[in-house]
Parts: sequence; structure tokens; C-alpha cells
Amino acid sequence: MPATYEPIATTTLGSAQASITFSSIPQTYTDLVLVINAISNGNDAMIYQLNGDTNGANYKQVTSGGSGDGTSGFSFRQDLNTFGGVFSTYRNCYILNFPRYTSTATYHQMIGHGGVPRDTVRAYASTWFNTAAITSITVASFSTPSYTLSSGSIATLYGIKAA
Amino acid sequence: MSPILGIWASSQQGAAPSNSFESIATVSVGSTVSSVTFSSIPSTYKHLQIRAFLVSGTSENNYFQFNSDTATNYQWHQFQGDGSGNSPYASNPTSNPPWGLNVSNATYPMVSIIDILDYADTNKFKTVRTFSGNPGQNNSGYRVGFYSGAWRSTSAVTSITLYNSNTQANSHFALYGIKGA
Repeated sequence: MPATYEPIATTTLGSAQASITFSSIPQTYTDLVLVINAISNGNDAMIYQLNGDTNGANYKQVTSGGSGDGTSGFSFRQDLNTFGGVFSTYRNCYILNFPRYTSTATYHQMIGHGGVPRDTVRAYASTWFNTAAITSITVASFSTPSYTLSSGSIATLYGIKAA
Repeated sequence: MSPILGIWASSQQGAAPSNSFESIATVSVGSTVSSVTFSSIPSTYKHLQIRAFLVSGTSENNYFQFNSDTATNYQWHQFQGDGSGNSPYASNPTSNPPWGLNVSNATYPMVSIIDILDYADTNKFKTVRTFSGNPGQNNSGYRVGFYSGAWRSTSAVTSITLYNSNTQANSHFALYGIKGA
């Protein structure tokens, strides 16, 4: 059987940038997986944007997680495209899944998990209220341009192809 | 594309190496069914992963069955939050383990990624980890969370059935095999 979990592209920032974008995503896979390992010049939330849609009202998400400080966990929802934090001291690590990204039959869903050391670990589920096939994915600091992704931030996009 | 770069990134980040993850079988649902079964699963992999995309109009418990075992040989617990501001909660029932959250509807598909570890090892019980999310059904339907389950059998897993009585068109289930070293 052919290998089916393939890297599509990797971006490693050589200087501070507002965002990382994967564009012209091939439409030949079933699911996409985006692995992010980023650091910033300030503590902020991260956002994702699909097909250049910057309107946060076109997304909603639910988050559950914990800080590990002995207190109870948390769960909240937002009508936004946020998915996590990016800090200046510790690199974050997130794995975001975009299933059925070429389908035009339903809204697009994202589930992901990750965290920032000495902050929180979180799980996310998010909807993009659009049925267009996903052709580009952007990740950025929520408060850009005040905060940017620092040099050395890495993101890799993988494609998974079902038989 | 650079497979070498992909393998390096995978080892750093926890994703699968690009040459060890293979598609075994896929079910694309064309009209409503009550369950989906993967049978005659080859025993040549180390682990299995199911990537499920459920379109359903029914909120119900979605549960597994391995090798058609209908007895009470399962157990599981969960960690999930509903976005209401309350703490995530956990439980540990003894029924068949869920393969996804019970909050799906036709407008907001439910997504699950299910890992079945050492499924062919006849020296141990089988363990399952499910990561599932559905963010947008309604004000009470938001969910994201994890399940961990066990099938108390040392038999190799050769078939897996995923139940939801209202699995609608555009639902999609893909079974993958992950090789060991």
C-alpha cells in the first residue's frame, strides 16, 4: 500500500513575520495536518485563517484545557478563529487537523491540541462557516501587527490521503 | 516535497513519519446507515488510526465494538468540556467506549481521530484513545475532549464497528495502519 502521510510544505521563519501562510494547497489529499512550533515577541493568542478569510465572525471555537497549577480546568467558546497561545519565553506546539478540506458539502471543521510550557495545555474544536474547499491556511498572532512570530518559528503542513 | 524534512519534522512534533502511515480502507457514506464496519483488518501494522467525519441528525452515544464482541468487556473514561465556562469533566463508565462526542448534527459535522494501540498484540488488552470535537451545534452542543478506552481481550482486533444510528451522507471514515520500526 502506498504511503499516505506526506509533508506538503514547511516554513521556518528567518526573521520576524506577521504570519505564516500555506497557499495553493493541493486538492489531492483527504485531510490536512498543520504542526506549529512558534515563538513570539509577546504573549498573545494565535489565530488561523482559511482562504484569507480574516473575519473572525465567520468562525467559532470551543476550548478545553488546564494549566497544571492544581486548579480546575477550563472550557470556553468564542465566535473567533483563535486556537491557542504564543509566548515570548517558551515555544508553543500545536497540531491542527483539517478533515475533508476539499469537500464542499459541509462547513469545515478543525480539531487540534497543544500548548505552551508553563502556561496551559488545550484542546480545540472550531468551525469555519464556509463550504468552499480550503486552498490556503494562515496562522498568526491574534494581535498582529503589535505581536509577530519570531525568527525560528516553524510550521509544517502534511497531507493524509485515504484509499 | 521533501520526505527527509517531513520525517525530521514528524519526529520533532509527534506526527507520523511519511513512510509509515498507510491507508487500509475508507467508507464514504452515500445514504443514511446505522453503523460502519471495517473488517478483515490486516495484522501487519503496529497501530491503527481511524479519522472519522460524522454528519448526523441524532445526538446519541457513538460507541465502538471490536470483533463483534457484545459482552461487557469494555471500559473507558473521558475528559471533555462544553465551552460553558464550567470545568471539563471526567467519567468512567463500563459500557462500550465512545468513538466520538454525541453532539453532531447535519450542519456541524463531528470529527474524531481514534488511535488503537498494539491492536494485533495477543499478549495484552487493547487500548484506544479518541480525540473528538464539535464546536457549533447550538448553545448546549459545543464539545471538545478525549476518551480513553480498553477492550479487555487479548485477541487481535480484526474488525471494528462504529455505531451511530443516523450516520448520514457525506460522513467519511478512513482506517489507516501505522507501522512499527
